[in-house]
Amino acid sequence: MIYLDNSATTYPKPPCTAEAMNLAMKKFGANPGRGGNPLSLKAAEEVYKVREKAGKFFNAKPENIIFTQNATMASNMAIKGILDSNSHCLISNYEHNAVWRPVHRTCSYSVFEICDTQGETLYRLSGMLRKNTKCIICTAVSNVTGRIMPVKAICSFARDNGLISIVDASQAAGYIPCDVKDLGCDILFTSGHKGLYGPFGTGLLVLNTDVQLKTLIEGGTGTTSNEAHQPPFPPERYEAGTLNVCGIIGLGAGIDFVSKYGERINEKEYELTADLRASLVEYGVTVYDKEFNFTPVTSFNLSDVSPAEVDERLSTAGICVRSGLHCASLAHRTLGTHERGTVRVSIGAFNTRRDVYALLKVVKNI
Amino acid sequence: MTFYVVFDSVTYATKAKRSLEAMGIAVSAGKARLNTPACSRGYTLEIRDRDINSLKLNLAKSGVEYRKIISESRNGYSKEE
Repeated sequence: MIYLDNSATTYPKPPCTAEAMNLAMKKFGANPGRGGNPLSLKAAEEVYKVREKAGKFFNAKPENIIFTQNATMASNMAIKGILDSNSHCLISNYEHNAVWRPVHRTCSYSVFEICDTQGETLYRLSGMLRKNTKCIICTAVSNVTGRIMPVKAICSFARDNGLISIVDASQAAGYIPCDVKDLGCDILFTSGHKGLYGPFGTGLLVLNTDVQLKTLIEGGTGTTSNEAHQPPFPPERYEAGTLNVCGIIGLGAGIDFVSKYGERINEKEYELTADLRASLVEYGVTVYDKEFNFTPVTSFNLSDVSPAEVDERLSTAGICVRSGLHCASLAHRTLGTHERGTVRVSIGAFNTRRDVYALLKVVKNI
Repeated sequence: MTFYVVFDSVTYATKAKRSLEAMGIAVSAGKARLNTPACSRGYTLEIRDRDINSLKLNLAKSGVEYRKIISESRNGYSKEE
């Protein structure tokens, strides 16, 4: 079996992720922040070490690293923590449903176009501001095409206009630098099980400024327990209920892995993706957004065969990709592929040139 | 003299603990037990035989906000610093 759906989740995970989770299950089994016993304190310290690692990775304070169950949870926390029915926000035309749907439910919004040039994008953005515009949300990388977005410029635009900026780094973390200070965003969120090589059930909300969100979930935090309301300070304010300690510790190991080998991995992934794209173009296949800078994600279509059929042919050959809309209708509308979607190939740390050749061989014969 | 530095949560207590330990200061963490309501005690770091001013300076260096510092003398007398 050849796995080329690393945008959905990276697979396999490095052995260190599973080993760390196993160790956590055996050694740190008490509830962190829920007592003064040595096991609870030990668990709390191990969780804190992951906050430190993530804080270093994203250049944020450890206490501003909020553990969530996935990127969607983090996205909902950010969006519903800032916006309400009286507010307006701007989202890009490449947003995942993890942004589009909560925004659609929460407030009024406009979709701005990521144009060919940064200047054009910002020019259009400036014409879309309203009196009640409160924030701008943009993905750092398209989950459909791997296109890298001008988020730094968009965050700067947000700051200049007194808006809160939220960056979706689900497809960026582990692939391109995600330094929140350099990006200048207020909030960044990401999944833990993709480019960070953590386990399922992990996500991160990273606060770069002192923005205080309304809480999405309330409950026990192990602190200020006499009060009816959530504590005012992060991370406990946003982490009601028992933490996913094993998952968090596995995520820490994943972050270690990416921090240590990420540069080398990214270089290989980029080379394989560039080769894949060049070969597909040579075969006369349509490759979307090929003119822009990219991460190891490629979306393509054959002119006379549906993406679903290509997917099936690849599956039969033992190659795992993903066809359809990739939970990103806005992006597919932008690309003009919202009727049937595309075939998406996403390369990960453990893929080889042989994997890419195997896929190309099948595509060539369709 | 023993000092108990009280923090709002285990995250801040752990941050301060790791920072102070990196400065070579021995600390032990636990639930707060002095002069704090039973159900909302927070977490403390217990630090022995340090000068209060240098301790405050080191805490400031660690960049962690604490709720209060309580000192306890060898005869059991305690007060907020």
